[in-house]
Amino acid sequence: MLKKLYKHEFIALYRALLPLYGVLFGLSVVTRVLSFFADNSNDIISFCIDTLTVLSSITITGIFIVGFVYIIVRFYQNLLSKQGYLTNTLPIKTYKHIICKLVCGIVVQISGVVLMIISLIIMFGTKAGIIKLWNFLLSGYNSFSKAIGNANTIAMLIELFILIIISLATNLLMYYACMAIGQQFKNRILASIIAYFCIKTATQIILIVLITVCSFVSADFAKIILANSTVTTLTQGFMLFCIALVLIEGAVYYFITNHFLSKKLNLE
Amino acid sequence: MDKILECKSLTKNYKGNMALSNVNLSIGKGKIVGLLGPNGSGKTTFLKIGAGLLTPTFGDIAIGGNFIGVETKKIVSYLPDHNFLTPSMTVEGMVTYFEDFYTDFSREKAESMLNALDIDKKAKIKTLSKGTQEKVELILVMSRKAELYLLDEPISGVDPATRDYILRTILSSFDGNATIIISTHLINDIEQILSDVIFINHGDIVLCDTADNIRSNTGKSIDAYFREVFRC
Repeated sequence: MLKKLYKHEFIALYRALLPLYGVLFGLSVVTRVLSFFADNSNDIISFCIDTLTVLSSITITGIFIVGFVYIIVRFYQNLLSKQGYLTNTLPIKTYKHIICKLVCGIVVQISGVVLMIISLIIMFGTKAGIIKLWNFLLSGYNSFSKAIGNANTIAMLIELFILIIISLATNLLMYYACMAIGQQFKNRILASIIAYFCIKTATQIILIVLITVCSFVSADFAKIILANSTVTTLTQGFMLFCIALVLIEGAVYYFITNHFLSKKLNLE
Repeated sequence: MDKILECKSLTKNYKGNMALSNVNLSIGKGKIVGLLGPNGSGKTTFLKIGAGLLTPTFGDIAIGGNFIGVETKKIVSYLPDHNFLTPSMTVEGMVTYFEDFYTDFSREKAESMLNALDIDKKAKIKTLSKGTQEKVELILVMSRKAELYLLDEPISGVDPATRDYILRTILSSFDGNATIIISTHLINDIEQILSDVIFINHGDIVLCDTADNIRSNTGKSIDAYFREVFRC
């Protein structure tokens, strides 16, 4: 049943986003085809390529904005508006709905990035260009490796990737939590917006307090760490600290969402 | 007799407005129960709590011996008073959706009812009229072999001919083990199929008895007695 939940969620998300993906793909292909004729210094073709490039840039931006907004809207529509009358009566636990929407939301956002890279390659990618890009990435990797002490570069990149994924999840969960709180009130959308500002403010205050307390209490502790650490352990430690922080934040949003949707559901 | 639904001191308070007030109720298996009351009496609130869409402020409700949760949702088929269909999906897509999530759903039964009502399976929900959408909803809900059907105003938005078909459908789905709770204002239309009747007003259960008892005790039809009790 869980597989079917994911199937329907992906279908619902991509049904709305695929047309936009199709537009970007089409623009990329047409731009590439036109670029074969651009050598003749034909002004009209150059103008068309420039226009298509601008349109593609707008579509790429649109894919990210529309994709993100649609993920949020879909959560609201499917769980907290009229469709929620069906979704919430399915014999599936609430946390499975939340995780399903979260996973699909992350995948959709990542697929937007992948599509953007593919469309850029289609538009501008030549063999020489790709080799140049590869060399650029390789030199970037080497510089990064050197900067962190020539050790565990792969591990660092994996941690960075995990941090990005967790950040995407936490960001979505924050919006889910706002909507879950908002559904408790008569004007749900207004209440969700107010919940957003309250959560944002509370998070900022907690972070500031945390940083202040840490810097005040652990000045000596920091000296000891700095004296006994290499660049590698320091950067890795910092990365793990960031992952833990974002993970805790995401977990709090998840529990808020799950609590309000499973214990205080209020589909008036 | 086995009970399918039991509630104790069930209370729902909407920020000062008491929608259900200390309701104690037991409904046995194999009944067709009419949940009748004027607007704002608490009918929809009661059904929503049974379906797991609202959390009671106080009290307990158990269906099939379980508190509201995944186990009760497996055996409850709920028709809300709101349109729950996804506008961008086709009728066939909605049938598949139900088939995917409810093990007691019969695709054959749904398709046969769609054919009988001449509803195009390939049509998108958003292209259907409001009445046809309501028919699709009812077909989906009644194509499950549930133990408890909670039907909130199932015949309010359809023409009299379809109303007869729907009532026949409800009766044909009733196999003696299932229980159906119907909330409606159109008492006259459903009176003949009711075995039990609950009158509800301002969140209180005013009356709970068999339809035959009410008719013999009052000498009136349920519809006439309802008009007398709830006269404005």
